[in-house]
Amino acid sequence: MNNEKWESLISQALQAPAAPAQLVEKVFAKTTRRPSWWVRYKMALVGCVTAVVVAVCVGVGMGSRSVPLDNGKLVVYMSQTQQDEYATFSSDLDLFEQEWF
Amino acid sequence: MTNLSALSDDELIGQFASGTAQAFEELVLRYKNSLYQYLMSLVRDEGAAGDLFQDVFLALYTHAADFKAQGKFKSWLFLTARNKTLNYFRDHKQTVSLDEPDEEGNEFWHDVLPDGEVGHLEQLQSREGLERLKALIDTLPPHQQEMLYLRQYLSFAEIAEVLHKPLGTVLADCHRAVQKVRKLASSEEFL
Repeated sequence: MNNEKWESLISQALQAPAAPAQLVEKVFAKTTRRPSWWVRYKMALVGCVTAVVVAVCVGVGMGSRSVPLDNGKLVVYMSQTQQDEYATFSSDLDLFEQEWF
Repeated sequence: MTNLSALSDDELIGQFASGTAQAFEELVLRYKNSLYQYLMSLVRDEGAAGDLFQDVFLALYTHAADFKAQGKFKSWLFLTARNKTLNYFRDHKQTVSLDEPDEEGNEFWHDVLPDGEVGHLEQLQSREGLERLKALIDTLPPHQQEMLYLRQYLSFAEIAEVLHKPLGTVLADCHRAVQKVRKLASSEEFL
């Protein structure tokens, strides 16, 4: 009989402490609550597509920065250089445009 | 909706194998405390016990479909925990052995216990007494500690499966462990 009492005492002394809640959550996060492979790959796929679209948009935007040639500004620039050979550039340009356009 | 807590371990395994994720979670919640305590009793380190805890349940999650329902889930769980703990000891070069014979060999404690043992039992039933008793258990050889911890969760037959020992050996070892606790706790030095 005494042996049973000792076994009971030992059982009381060895009462199991609760496993930490975050430990259980870690198990669930790696198993039943882990996103399915399709969801994970879909997220990666969306990210890649988004990056490609952004890159394309940036590339197109940079390529379209060229502005039409402003003849007026060109003449001003040429005049400002004060080089004789460009003094009549404006009139030469007008003649050129009359001939070709 | 099925009340999962009312299902047996084998039924939960079957449900999980059929795709019911909550059945796996029920198994985790059912055995989380006993498994964690068992691992802590072996490794004595919260970090290591936490890692082993996750490893055991990840193994269950991965191999549940291969598990044959024979009413031995609890044995499987603690056997897996034990094997992973032994691997942990090996990988960390720790010399703790759960299979060494105790210093007394195979002697049974036939000593006559001191008079007044009943009084000692009453003293130990207090909270302080139980804490001292647990501290005393922690001084036992590892394999005897393991025996006493496993006895909290498993039947003798299940312990025999976990330890790969004959049932008679398990009964004798468990009896020796309890007798040793009894003798040590009854000594004047302890009280």
